[in-house]
Amino acid sequence: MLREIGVERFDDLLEGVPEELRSTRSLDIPGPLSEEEVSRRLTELAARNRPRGVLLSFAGGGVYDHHVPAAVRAITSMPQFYTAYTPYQAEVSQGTLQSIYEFQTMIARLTGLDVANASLYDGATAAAEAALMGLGITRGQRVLVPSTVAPSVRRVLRTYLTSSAAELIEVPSVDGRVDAGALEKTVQEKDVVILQHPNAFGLLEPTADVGAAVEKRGGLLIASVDPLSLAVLKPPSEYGSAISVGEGQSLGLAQAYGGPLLGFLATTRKHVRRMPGRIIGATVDSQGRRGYVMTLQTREQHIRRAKATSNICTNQGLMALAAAVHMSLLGKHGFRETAVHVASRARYAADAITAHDGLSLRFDGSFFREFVVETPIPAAVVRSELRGAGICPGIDCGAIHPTLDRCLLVSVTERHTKDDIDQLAAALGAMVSERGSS
Amino acid sequence: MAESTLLFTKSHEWVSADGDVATIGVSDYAQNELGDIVFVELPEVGKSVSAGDVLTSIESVKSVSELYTPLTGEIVEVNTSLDDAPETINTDPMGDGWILRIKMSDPSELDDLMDSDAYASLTKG
Amino acid sequence: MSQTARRGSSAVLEPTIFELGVPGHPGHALPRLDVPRLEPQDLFDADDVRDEPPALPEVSEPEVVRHFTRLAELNHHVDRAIYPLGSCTMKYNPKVNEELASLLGFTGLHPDIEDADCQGAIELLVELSNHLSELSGMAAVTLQPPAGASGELTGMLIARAWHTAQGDPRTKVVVPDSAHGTNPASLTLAGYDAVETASGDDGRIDVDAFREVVDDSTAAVMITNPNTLGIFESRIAEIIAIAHEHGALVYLDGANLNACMGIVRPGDVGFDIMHFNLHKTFSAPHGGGGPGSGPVGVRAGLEPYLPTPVPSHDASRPAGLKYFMDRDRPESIGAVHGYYGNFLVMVKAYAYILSNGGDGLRRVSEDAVLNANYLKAKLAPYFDVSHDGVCQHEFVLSASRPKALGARALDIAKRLLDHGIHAPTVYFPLIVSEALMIEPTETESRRSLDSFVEAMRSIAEEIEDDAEALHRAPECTPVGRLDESKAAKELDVVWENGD
Repeated sequence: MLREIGVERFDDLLEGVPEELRSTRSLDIPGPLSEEEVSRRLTELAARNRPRGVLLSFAGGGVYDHHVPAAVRAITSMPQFYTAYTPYQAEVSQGTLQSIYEFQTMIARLTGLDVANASLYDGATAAAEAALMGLGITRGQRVLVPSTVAPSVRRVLRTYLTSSAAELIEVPSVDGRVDAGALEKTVQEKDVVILQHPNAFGLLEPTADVGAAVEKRGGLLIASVDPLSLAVLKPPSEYGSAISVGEGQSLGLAQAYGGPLLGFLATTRKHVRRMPGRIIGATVDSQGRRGYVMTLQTREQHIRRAKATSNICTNQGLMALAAAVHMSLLGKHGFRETAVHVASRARYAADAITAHDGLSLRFDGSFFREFVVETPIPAAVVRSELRGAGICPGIDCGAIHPTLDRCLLVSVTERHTKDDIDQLAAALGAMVSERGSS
Repeated sequence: MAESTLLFTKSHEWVSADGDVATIGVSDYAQNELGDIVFVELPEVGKSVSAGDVLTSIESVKSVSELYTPLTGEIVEVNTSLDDAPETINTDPMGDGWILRIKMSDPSELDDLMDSDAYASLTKG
Repeated sequence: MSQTARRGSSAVLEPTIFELGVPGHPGHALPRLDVPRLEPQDLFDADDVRDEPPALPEVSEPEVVRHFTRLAELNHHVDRAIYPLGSCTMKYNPKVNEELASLLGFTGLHPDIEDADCQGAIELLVELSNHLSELSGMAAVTLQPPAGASGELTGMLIARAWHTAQGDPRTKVVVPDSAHGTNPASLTLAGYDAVETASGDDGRIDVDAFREVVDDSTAAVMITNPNTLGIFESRIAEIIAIAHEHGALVYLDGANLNACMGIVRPGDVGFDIMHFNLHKTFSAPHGGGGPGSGPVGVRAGLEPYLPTPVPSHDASRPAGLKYFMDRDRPESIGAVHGYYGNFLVMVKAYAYILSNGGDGLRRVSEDAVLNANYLKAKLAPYFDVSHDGVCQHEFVLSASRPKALGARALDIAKRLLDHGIHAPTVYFPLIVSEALMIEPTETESRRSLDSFVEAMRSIAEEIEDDAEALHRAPECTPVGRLDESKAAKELDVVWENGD
């Protein structure tokens, strides 16, 4: 081959690389390992984790332990999908393109909005992108964020807005839900308002009041929603939300230690040109056959460069496919049933846990799939001690707000059996009665 | 009736002044470079603009081009037919594909523009 | 064999999932509900309850599988044939990595369990960061950015944080005119103004022009090396020195790292910040558009600004707790992801690195450079190469001459599809007219490369004979050339029942 190229030694191909820049020593990286050895090493690492099945976990907060039907993985494992490139050459990418078009349709139907994009990195970055999109629409200078929005979302939002002239304003909560009255007084024209529903405490927010307040004051409402909750709760289109985002992990993705996840974003037809990310559209080919292409590409970085609606290039394409397959397998009826099961089990868990002395629900409002339990012992201690029993009882709410460090966010899915839930309740109850208040 | 003159900018806009109202569009050269135009976001009537401002963007499938105003004044009319038929800019860029009209506050700005001959040599060269 | 159904005025390859199935189909069965069943009206205010569940498909599992399988068959993919896409590094995706990334010990972990319950995961993250550090010569690496563009944003925010701490945030970032679109987009998102610097006739950054452009308001310079023409910036040391003289940081867009592993260490060259693309250089699959992963490396002194949390190891901690997520990072830029990044993608990259080892990774880069130069030499008789001299792992052809005959880069790309080969990247970089950017990667065999050459030779011949014919391409693909104007003008991005 060197001969065909016309050089004598390989090093001749490095003539553009100055000698003094070339590495003089070899890389200190272990290997090469055979497939058997690599497998052994990674299996050993995997074995030092306690995943579902080993640890009985009630942790939620955006990532949930749902059952994923085998057919989802069967399809996403098809090399035609997972080894394919981004569908820039549409004629040989119709499989990817049509399945994402179907995903977009499902997200639009869930949220009640007109259009959706082909995915963003996760729910947190989706919220940040939506805030920037909203500011672009209103030309406002302020983003109002209730303290009931998840801390991970608030962190990413703050990072994405680092250099923006926009001010991040926190809206207070009352009894775990956004203070709609305070919000109404605070909102000004052109403000972008973010609402999480259900919120970081699992509680349903006063969406109608918030929507009305934002509309009255001429603001723009972004709803960050739990996609499964949309099976049974009013969609954001019905409380005046112009943009809706969320974390799609519960739509057929593994928990995966937090990634890859699936951000979604939907909006009204009016704002479609301001949407970040890829959008797949239908069209026809030279023979009049229906086909799909990436459309409105002039919004994107590869064309618009510095003026693009976002810098996003690679998104979460394969996860969007997983979600489309998952939602197709559950179907209209199964999706609703899953939500009913989840909500029923969550209610049962709340009752079973609070039946024990010393354990109570921290907030009064209605919840969908997760709720906050107040304990006399710091949540961090509860978590640490229950590890011994093979249980993760939920998320330490001290991470949401320092005053809530004796609270746990307990999340239940359709996978948790009555016995699992009873086991959790008993373990919490035993711990409390043993230790009393510290 | 006042005589109208056809002038051009370096950024491929054409200007046709009639009294103190100037009609602006993009040249045949520009529409050819852009390809099939799919969208024009028309600015608001009544908006004040200064020479050099970006008026709007003209979007084709594979590119976006900014439309600049060489004139200072107020936008008095926009070609709303472009909302449903943006491709008119391709088919008739100098006629029905006009984009907007500005009431000039300083008609002497027209002196900075080039005539058809000068523009023709710009695009050929 | 394509069966197309006729529906209305358009033939259709495969109906949408919404057109299949039967209303009322129950869908996937759930486990028995062994607690009291509560309906939404029992749990929520009537005002909060949705009237009708969302209109998702009502299809049996066999129909779902068949539908998506038929869609899969419409896709070209790298397991099938070469994807010589410049800048994308479409190398083979090792199957063992897919298997290992599906281990329950990785997939079944919630990110908010106790650190003690995910020691293996955190160890993997620490090890991967260390290997990337060693590879790049960077002092520390964050794995949090979930894609290359996110890595660029992270890098720019780190630059901003550093400059702000010095007392002068500065306003501009310099990028070459050959830069990938994400570069100006990312720096703009970070609040900077993009300033372009010109490339010279040899395709490299024009150092004299660069010297004029950089000043004390320059926060950073973003460079791709080898650049997007596949050419190594031979005067990179000088370029970095000029930037540093003005107090600007130098960022490496690591998309082209496949050309340099074990050959050049960016940290040793003087780069301050860089990103990696695990879904390019490190063999993680592209997934039809993602998920990717874009770790960022920084030189010593910039570690405090890395996103939080930082996977860490402390040998002095008790057994079973030596690995932990360090959240105590007061100067951190914040977070660019809800959690730790695309963990399963990192698992694949980690397995890939171990499979190759240090020497193996060097071999990967050498073979990538070899394959690209071979391809360039074999194609040069038929198409103009953009620049003389050796290339690294990719090179650019210009279809300017074919254009004069009536066949543009786009037409050549479409005709390649008829040969069963995915087209190279077209119309990028912007500085070459009618560009075709080609990157074979090291996993293509000589036979595969020769078949690509043969296809290109045949297209070159076709251009001489009848360039117009290429306008009809592609003709052997499931659909022909698609009307993108119609897609943009008559926006149809959501299926409406009754379509």
